[in-house]
Amino acid sequence: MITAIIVEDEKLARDLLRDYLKDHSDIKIIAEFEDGFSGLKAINELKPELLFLDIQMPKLTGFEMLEVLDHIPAIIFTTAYDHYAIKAFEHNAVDYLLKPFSRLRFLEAVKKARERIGSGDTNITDKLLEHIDKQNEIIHRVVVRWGAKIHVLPVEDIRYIQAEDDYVMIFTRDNKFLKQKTMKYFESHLTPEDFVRIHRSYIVRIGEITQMQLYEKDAYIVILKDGTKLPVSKGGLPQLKKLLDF
Amino acid sequence: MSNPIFERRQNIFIYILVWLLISIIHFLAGFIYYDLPFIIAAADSLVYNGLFALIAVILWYPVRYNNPEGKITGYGLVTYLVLGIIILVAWLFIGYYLLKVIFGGNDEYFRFLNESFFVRVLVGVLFFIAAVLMYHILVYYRALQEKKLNETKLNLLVRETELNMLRSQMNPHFLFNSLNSISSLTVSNPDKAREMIIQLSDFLRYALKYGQHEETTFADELKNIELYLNIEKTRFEDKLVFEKKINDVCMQTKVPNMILQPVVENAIKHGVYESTEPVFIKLSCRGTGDGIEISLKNTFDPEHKSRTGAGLGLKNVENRLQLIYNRMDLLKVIRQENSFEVIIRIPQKNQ
Repeated sequence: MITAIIVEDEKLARDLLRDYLKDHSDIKIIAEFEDGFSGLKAINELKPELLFLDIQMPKLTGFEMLEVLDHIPAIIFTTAYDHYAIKAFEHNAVDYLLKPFSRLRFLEAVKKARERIGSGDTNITDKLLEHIDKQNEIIHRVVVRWGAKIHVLPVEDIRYIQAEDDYVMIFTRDNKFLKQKTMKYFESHLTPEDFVRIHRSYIVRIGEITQMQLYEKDAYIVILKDGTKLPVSKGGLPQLKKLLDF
Repeated sequence: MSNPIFERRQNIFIYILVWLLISIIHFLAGFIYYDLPFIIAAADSLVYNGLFALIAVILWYPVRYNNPEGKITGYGLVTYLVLGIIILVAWLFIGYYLLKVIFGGNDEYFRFLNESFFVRVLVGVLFFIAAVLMYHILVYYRALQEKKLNETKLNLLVRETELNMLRSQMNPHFLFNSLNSISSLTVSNPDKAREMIIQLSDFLRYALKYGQHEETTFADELKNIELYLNIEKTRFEDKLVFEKKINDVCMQTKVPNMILQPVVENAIKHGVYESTEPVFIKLSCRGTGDGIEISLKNTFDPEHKSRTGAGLGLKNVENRLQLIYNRMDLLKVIRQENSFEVIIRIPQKNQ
C-alpha cells in the first residue's frame, strides 16, 4: 500500500485526482490540503510516500513548500501553465501533469512514481530547486523555519543576511532565521534598489545603514540602525559608495 | 529645417553641376550665336548665373516660411509674385552694374546687354519658377516621408497594445485551469460541465471580438465580466463573493471594449488566487455628469505581500484609456490594508 497526500487549491481538481486514483487500489489518500501551508505540516508529520503537488497555490507555492520539507516523498507535480516550472521538470526528469490531463497520462505518471518509490530514489528536489533558483525573479517572501514552525517572511522584514557555511542567517528586527540558500541566490533575487552586498558574507538592506566608518587604514565598516557593525570588503566598497553617494 | 541643398554633400554637388551646365549653355550662346569675344561671353554667363545660384540658395528661406508643408496656396502665390519681381529686378540690376564695372568702355557689348534685356527677364522668370518648384517638391517629399514614419510608429504602438491586451485576456492559467475543472465536472456533474463549457465559449468569443469594434455598452461589458466571474466561481466556490451596484445611467453608456476584463482579472489574481479565506469583489458604477465612474474593489489577504506596483494588466488599461481619450487621469488605484480599489472614469464624447 502506498500512502499519498494531495495538495491542490481547487476542489474540482482534487475531485479529478481522486477519481483517477480509484483505478489504483494500492494507493491510499491519507490527507488532502487546499494550500501549501497546511499541507507542509501534515507531510512532515504523516510522511506519505507519494505527493500530488500543485504549484500555484495561496500562501505557499509548491516550490516554496519543497524548500522547507523535511520528508521528501515521490512527487507528481500538477500545473496548468508555467513555462519555467515545465523547463525545470524536463531538465530534471521529474514527472508532471499538465492540466487538463488524461487518465492514460495519469496512469503513466503513477507508474513512474511507483518505480521511484520501489527503488527508494525519491529525492529530486535539490537539483530541481537549483534549477528553479536560476531564474532571477525578484522574490517578495522567504519561507523559513523557526523551531518546528514555518514562517513566511516578507522581504520587507529582512535587515541583513549573513553567510553561514552552506546556509545563510536572515536577520529581521527581532529574530533570525537559518535558511538553506546561497548568498548568490539572495544577491540575484532581492531588489537591487533595496539590498547591497557589502562583503562576501553580508547582504544589507540599504535603508538600515546609518553610518559608514573608516576602521583601520583601508577597511571600512557600516553601522546599522540598531548599532550592529558589519565589515565592508574591498569588492563591496565601490558599490556601497555609489549607493550612498559617499 | 535647413536648406535641403546642404543636407547632403551629394545635393551640393548636383546643385553646382546644374548651374555649371546652365553657365556653359549661356556661354556658348553668347560666344557662338551672338559672336561675343571669349572673355566677355564667359563673364556675362558667370556673373548672371553665379548671381542667381546664390539668390536661389537664399530663396529657400522665404519658401520654407511661406509654406512649411510644401503645398502652394493662393496667399503663397501672391507672395511669390512680389518676391519674384523684387528678385528679378535685383538680379538684373546687380548683374548689369557688375559687368559695367568690369567692361565699362565696351559700348558694343552694352548695346548687346540692353538689347538682350527681354530675353534675360524671361530667363530670370524661368529660373525663379524652377527654384521655387524644386524647393516645394523637396519640402513636400520630406513631409511625406516624416508622415509615413510617424504612421508606422503609431501603428506599431497600437499593435503592441493590442497584443498585450490579447495576452492579458487569454490568461493561460485561467484557461487551462478552467478546462481542468470541466474535465473534473464531466465525472461528477455533467450538466454543470456543459454549462461551464458554454460560459467559457461565450467568454472567449467576446474576447476575440476585440479589435473589430472599438466601443461597446457598459451592459455588454458587465455581461462578459459576469461570465468570467461565474467560471471562476465554479472553480473557487465560496472563496469568491461578487456584489454589484450599478446605476441605470451606466448600462447604455459607451465604453471601450474589454476595458474591465483586465481589472477584474487583476482582482481575482491577487485576491482569490492568493487567499484561503473568502474574497469580496464589488463592482459599482455611477454617472458623474460628464461620463461614468466605474469602481472595482476587492479584499485581499494582508499577509500576501507580493504586490509591487500596478500589474501589466492595469498598465494596459491605463495606456488604452490614454490613447482613446487623450487623458492621463482616468485610472486611479486606492490601496488599503486589506483592500484594493481601481476607479476608472469614462468621459462621454460629443454630447
